[in-house]
Amino acid sequence: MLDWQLFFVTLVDMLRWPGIILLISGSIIGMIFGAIPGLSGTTAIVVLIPMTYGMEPSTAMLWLGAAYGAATYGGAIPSILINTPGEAPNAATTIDGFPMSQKGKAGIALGAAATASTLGGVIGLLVTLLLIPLLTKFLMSFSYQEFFMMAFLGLCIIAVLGEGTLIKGLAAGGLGIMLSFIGFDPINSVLRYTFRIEYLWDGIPVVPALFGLLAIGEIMDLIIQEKTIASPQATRSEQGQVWMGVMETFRNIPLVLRSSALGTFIGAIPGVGGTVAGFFAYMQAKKTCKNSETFGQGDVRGVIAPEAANDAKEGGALLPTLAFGIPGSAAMAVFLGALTLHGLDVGQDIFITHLDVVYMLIMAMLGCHMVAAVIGLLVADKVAILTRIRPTLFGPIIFVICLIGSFALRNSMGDAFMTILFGLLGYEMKKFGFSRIALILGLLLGGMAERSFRQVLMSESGIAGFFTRPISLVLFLTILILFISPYVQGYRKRRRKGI
Amino acid sequence: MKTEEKVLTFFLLVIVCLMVVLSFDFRPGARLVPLIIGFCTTILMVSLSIMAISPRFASWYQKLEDKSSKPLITTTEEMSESDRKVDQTRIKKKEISVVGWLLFLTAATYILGFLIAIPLFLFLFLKLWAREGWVLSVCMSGAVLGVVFFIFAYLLHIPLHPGIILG
Repeated sequence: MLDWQLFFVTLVDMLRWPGIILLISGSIIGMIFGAIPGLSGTTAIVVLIPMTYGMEPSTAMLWLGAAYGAATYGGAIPSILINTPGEAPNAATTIDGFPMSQKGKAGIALGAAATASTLGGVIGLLVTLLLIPLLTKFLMSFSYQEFFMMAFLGLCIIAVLGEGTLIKGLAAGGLGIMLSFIGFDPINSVLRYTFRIEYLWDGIPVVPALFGLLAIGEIMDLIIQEKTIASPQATRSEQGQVWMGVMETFRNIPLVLRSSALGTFIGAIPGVGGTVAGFFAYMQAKKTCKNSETFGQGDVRGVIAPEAANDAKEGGALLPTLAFGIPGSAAMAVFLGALTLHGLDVGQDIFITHLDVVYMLIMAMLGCHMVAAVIGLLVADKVAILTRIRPTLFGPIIFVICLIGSFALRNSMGDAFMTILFGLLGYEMKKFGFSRIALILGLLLGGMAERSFRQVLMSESGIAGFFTRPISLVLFLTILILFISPYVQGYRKRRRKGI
Repeated sequence: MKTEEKVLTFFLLVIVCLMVVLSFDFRPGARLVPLIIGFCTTILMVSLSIMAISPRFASWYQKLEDKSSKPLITTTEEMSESDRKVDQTRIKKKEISVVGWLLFLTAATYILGFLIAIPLFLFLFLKLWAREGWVLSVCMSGAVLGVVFFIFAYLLHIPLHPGIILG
C-alpha cells in the first residue's frame, strides 16, 4: 500500500519554503534547457548536480526532478516554432507542429503541447506511484540471476535501438563494461587495469564520464557545426490561440489516454527512450483517429499524441531506474549518478529506507508539469527567443561548469581531466555513430553484471539458474530476440526486394 | 569509412586487446568476466576494423542488418566535390581549434587554478574564437566567475584548485 502519511509529509515539504522555490526554479531551468536544441533535460541535470552537493537528498531530487520533468515540454517549443526538436523525444512533434506554425496556428500547437505534456506526465507518474507497492513485492522474487539478466537486457536494448549500427552499439557497450572493471575487483579486491595509478583504484568515476560524454561532446559539436539555433522563419504565436490549443487537447482526451498509456509502457522498458515513445504514439494516433489524412499537414492531434507519450514515459522510466538500477534513458543514467552521489543505493532498499526521496522525485516531476504548463501557456512564444543564442556564447560556459562540477565531486583534478578525456571520446563517438548511451550503461551496469554473475557461479544452482528461474529465462529469451530481430528484419526486407 | 573513423576504431581495438592481455595476469576469479567480455568486445572491434579496411565486408554487413550508421558530420548531396572538401577542411580546422581550447582550459586550470583560468579562458574564447566585443567578453567572464565563486566557494565551501603556481 501507498504510505499516505509519508506521501503527505513529502507533499507539504515540497510546497513549503525552500521546496516551492526549488520546484519553480528547477522547472524554469528545465524548460530553458529543453527549449535550446542541443541541450536537454539531461544537460540541465548535469549542470545542476554540482549545485546539489550540499543539499539533502530529497531536496536535491526535488530540484533535479523538476528540471528534468519540465525539459520535455521546453523541447516542444522549438519543435513547433522552428522545426527543430529541442530534445530527441520531441522529434515526432515536428511532423505536425511545424506545419501548424506555417499555417499561422503556432499558438494552438503550443497550447495543445503544454496541456498534453501535463496530462501525459501526470498520468505516467500516477501509474508509477500506484505500481510502487506492487513492485516492492515483485522485486523480492529477484535474485542474482535476474539482476544479471536485467543488466544485460538494459545494455542490449540500448545497443539495438541506440544510435548507429547494432555492432557499434554492442562494441560501445562492451567497451563501457571493460572500463567498469578498472579498479578493485568487487569480490576478491584484486586491483585491475590501474597501471599503478592511484587515482584509478576506485575505478572510473561515472559522473565525470557522463559530464564529458554527454555535455562536453554535445557542446563541442554545436560549436564546431556553428548551428544557428533559430531560423529566420521562426513563427511567433498569438496568446489567444494558446487557449484554443488547450481546449483541443481536452476534446481529444481518449487520444491523450491512449498515448499516455503507450508512453508509460515504453518508458518502463529499460533503454527504449522517449524518441521511440513519441513516434509510436504518433503512429497509433494516425492509425486510430478518424480523418487521419490530415496528419502531417498540421493536425493538432499529431502534436497531442507524441507530447502526451513523451511526458508519460518519464513516469514509466522511473520504474526500472529506481527498482532495478537500470536507467531507462540517458537522463535516468544521470539520475542514477546523482542518487549514488547523495549516498542512495537504488534497488529494493530505496523503497524501504528512502521512500521519502522516491516520493519527492515523483512529486517534483508531477509538480513541474503544472508549473511548466502555466509558464508555458503564458510565455511560450517568448521562450523561443532563447533558441537564438549562439552556441559560441553558452558553449564555453558549459565547458567551465562541467570542469568545475567534476572537480567539486571529490576535489580531484583527476576527475576534471577525466571529464575532458571523455568529452573528446564522446564527440568522436557521436560523430561516427558509436552509441554513447551504450558506453555509459556499460560503465554503470558492468559492476552489477559482474558481481551478479560471480554470485550466480558461487550459488547452488550455478549457471543453470539462468534457465530454470522463470523471470530470468523470459529475460534471456527477450535478449535473444533483440539480437536476432535486426538480422531477421534485414533478411525479410531483402527477400521482399528479391535481392 | 573515413580515415578518422578508422583511427578511432583501431584505437578502441588496441585498448580492448590490451585489457584482454592484461587480464591473464589476474587471479582466476578476477579475470573470468573481463576475459569473457573482453573476447566478445574484441570480436566486435575486429569486425569493425575489417569493415574499416574492406568496404565489401562493410556493405555486406549493412545489408545484413539493413540499418545504416549515421555519421554526424555529413555534407549535403547537392554540394560539389570541391565545396565538400572545403567544408570538411573547415570543420577539421574547427575541431582541432576547439580541442585546443579545451586543452588550454584544462592546462590553465591545473597551472593557474580555477579562479584565474575560468575568466581567462572565457575572455579569450569569446574574444578570439567567437569574435565578441570587449564589453560582452569582459562582462560574461566576470559574471561567470562571480557565479562560480558564489556557488562553489562561498555557498558550498568547496576549496577550488588554486593551481600549481599559486597553490
